[in-house]
Amino acid sequence: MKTRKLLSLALALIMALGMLAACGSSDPVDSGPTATPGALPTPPSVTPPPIIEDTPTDSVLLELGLDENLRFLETRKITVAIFDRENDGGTPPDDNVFSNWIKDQVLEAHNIEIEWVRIGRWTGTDDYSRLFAANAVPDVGYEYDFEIFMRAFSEMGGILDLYPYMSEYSNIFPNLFDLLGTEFIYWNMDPETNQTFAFPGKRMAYNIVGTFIREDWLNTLGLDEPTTIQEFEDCLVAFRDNAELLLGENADRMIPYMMTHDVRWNYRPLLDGHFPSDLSDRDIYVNGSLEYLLTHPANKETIRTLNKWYNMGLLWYDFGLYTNETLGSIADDRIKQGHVGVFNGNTDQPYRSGENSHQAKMQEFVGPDAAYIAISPFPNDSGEVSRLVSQDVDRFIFLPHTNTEPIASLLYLDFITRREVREYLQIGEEGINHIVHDNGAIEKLPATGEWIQNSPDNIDYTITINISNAAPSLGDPVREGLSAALAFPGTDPKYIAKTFEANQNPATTRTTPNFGLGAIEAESGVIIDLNTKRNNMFINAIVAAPADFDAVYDAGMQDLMASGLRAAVDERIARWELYYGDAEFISD
Amino acid sequence: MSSGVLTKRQQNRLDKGVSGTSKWTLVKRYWVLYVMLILPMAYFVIFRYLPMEYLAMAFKENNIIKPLWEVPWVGLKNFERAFGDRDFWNALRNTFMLNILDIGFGFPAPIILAIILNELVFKRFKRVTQTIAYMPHFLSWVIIYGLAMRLFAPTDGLVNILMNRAGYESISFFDKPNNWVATYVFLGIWQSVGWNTIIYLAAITNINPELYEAAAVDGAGRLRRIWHITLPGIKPTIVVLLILTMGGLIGGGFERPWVLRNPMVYDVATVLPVYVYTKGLLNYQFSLTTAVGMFQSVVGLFFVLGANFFARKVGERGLW
Repeated sequence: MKTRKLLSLALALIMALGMLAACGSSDPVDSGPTATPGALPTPPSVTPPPIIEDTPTDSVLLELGLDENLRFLETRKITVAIFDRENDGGTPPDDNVFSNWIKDQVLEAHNIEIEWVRIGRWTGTDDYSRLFAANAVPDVGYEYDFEIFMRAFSEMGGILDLYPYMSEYSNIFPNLFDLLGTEFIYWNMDPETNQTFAFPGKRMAYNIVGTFIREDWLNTLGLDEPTTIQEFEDCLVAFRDNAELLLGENADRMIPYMMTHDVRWNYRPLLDGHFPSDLSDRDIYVNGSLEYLLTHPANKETIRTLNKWYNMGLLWYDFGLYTNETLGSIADDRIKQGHVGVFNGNTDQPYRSGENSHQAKMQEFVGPDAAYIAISPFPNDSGEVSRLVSQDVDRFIFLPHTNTEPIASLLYLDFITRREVREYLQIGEEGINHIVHDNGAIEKLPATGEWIQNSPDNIDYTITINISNAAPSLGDPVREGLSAALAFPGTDPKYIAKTFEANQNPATTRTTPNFGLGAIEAESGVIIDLNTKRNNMFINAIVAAPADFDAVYDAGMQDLMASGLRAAVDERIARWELYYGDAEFISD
Repeated sequence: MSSGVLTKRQQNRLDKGVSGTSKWTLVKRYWVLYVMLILPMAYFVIFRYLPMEYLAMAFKENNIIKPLWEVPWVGLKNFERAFGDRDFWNALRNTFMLNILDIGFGFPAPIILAIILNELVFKRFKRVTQTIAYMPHFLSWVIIYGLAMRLFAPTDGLVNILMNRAGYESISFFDKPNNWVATYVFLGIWQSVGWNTIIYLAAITNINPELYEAAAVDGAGRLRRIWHITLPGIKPTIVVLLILTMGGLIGGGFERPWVLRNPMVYDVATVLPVYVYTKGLLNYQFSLTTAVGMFQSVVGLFFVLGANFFARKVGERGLW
């Protein structure tokens, strides 16, 4: 209990620090770039329109068909997308206690009648494509992919420009602006036309890939947790060389470091260690066509390190043989079977899903001492760990061009963003979905039957905020931290504290700004091809003989450049120079 | 005519409605047959011909939201874009290469198997073998991929484990381009050979057994009988199937290359159907890939026409 209290306090502190850091962070859109003095143009839309604070006038309300309580005088009908995860034991996403509660509440609050439209969680873009072709996209839609999916359909004229509504009626949507601010609402605003085709919801946890190592193997071999790349490599070598000691008769199943075909996701901690400590905003923007700053030299050096480790027998030999479609649970199963020394995952990856978590399953196979612990072994050239993360944007919300009720649709989004609404959806019913401890902490319960939450914390309904991997957004950082500590039943709290310290720590995190310079024309319609080529290049470079590494990597880069990446980088350089001149940082 | 096939003369008589039987009378007499034709004809009209309207997308801006005829025309821009894309040429090369290998190795395989099965004396063994051989036809490529990985994976595939235990190095069946191509072709033959054999076995059973008996009396051995009776007897079937296969030379299925490929062999494994899927559906470049699809169809048609023309030139009936 004492440990749990200490952990709770530690987490509460981390969460509080995170909130403070977020409050204190510079806002690249609000503050606007301090452009180099001279003739450089200042894009008018870099500064978004102000929020209208005054209460809407009667004439405005009348024009919109609303009363003074923002309730439509006549019932309006809209359709709203809802992800269908087809969970085993789940409820119909469009007909359950939560979806029906929302329907009732929004009808009462705004006189808006909603009809849910199911969108496959894993087939969302395909489903939307069909619906776009049939002009049947729900009035409120959301998807993760802005750069490829939403951009393609906005170019076809399929998505409504939200700027006129947001700029003119911001006082009608106070909850949206409270939570998301102008930075998020105008996240994708075109600097020249002001067109704003979608805005992102807020994600309450950093999008960080962490590194987890077998703590019990370190103990068996008398090794410390690695804190440098060399120490990390030494650990992998030790795992490889002591396979019989660590795995017994399964020694030939040893995988010191699990790599998968999705190298660009797995290599992020290592890549962050290869970025120079003086990485500039210009570097981030100019190299930003493909994740993660592919054209920055740090990428090649990171892949070179992986090439070395592969040829030393430290990586999963078969990693390049699979694709998204064919990998299935092969890699996860190897981790759960206890054959893997190190793997990369989300902040809570080893511990999420209770008794089905990687850690719990591994302990079933191996024994209670088997455990993964988060490490930070990749400091940069100044000896510090600095994790480069994107802003906390989540799914993008859009209204299709067929939407004839944009105000009602945005009022629905405003309703779903109300603190009391999203809190109820996140934590559910007391005694069924959660209990409240004496200190105010919320402990979630694994509800079943009609009260089951089909998505973690009902994020599929609370589309303007995603608290998955984080604590409920209760408006109180201390209470949130205390709640987070209770979110992983069955896991020793020290592991949770360690991974939050390693992977959700504002002190070791650098957030990339939203530069607000608009879409890059050369990136339109080519990103998926370039991503595929990048993945292909990474894999072939990693498995190449060390002597062939440069030739394989450089040939891959040449192909990428010739396939559209060169044009994209050039356009980015020109765009940067247009708005920021020779500045290296937007605050210069 | 014991075979039931009409002679040319009989056909002419039927067409001309001789013996006082007009075409209309024939229609009235066999109206049930014509009514039964309505459904398949409707299928072809609705699902095969009407959608061809959307081939116009190949000449229009990329837009699936506006009604087709409101989308502006762009001439041959989509074709120019495709032909200017190095990935298109790479996919075209791979499509040709894999399909030619499929035809080169896969086309004779069922013929050979059919002949072997036909020569078997033990009929029960023949039936069992035939059944086992065509079973893989009913497996999806996803299942075949799973089986193949369990057998041929580098570190934990059964074949490589056995080879390692026997003191041999593992073979990279999937992760080296040349090996992957060989594995791809082999799995294709394994999956389809039994099914295609049925067609040739059916053709062989239509050969008059008296021909074999006469040849045996004349002293022809087994190989002679195969060469001079069996093969000529199934030649029309071989030619028709070859012509139809030629139509797929630039096309082919999507599932097999999509499932079997992996990032280490994309350079040889990305074929046109995969290109169309990734560019069209994943990248939302619908007009571009309609143009590519149209290109495939037109070239495929030329291959069929060319093969048919060639077959007729060398004395075969061809398709018509």
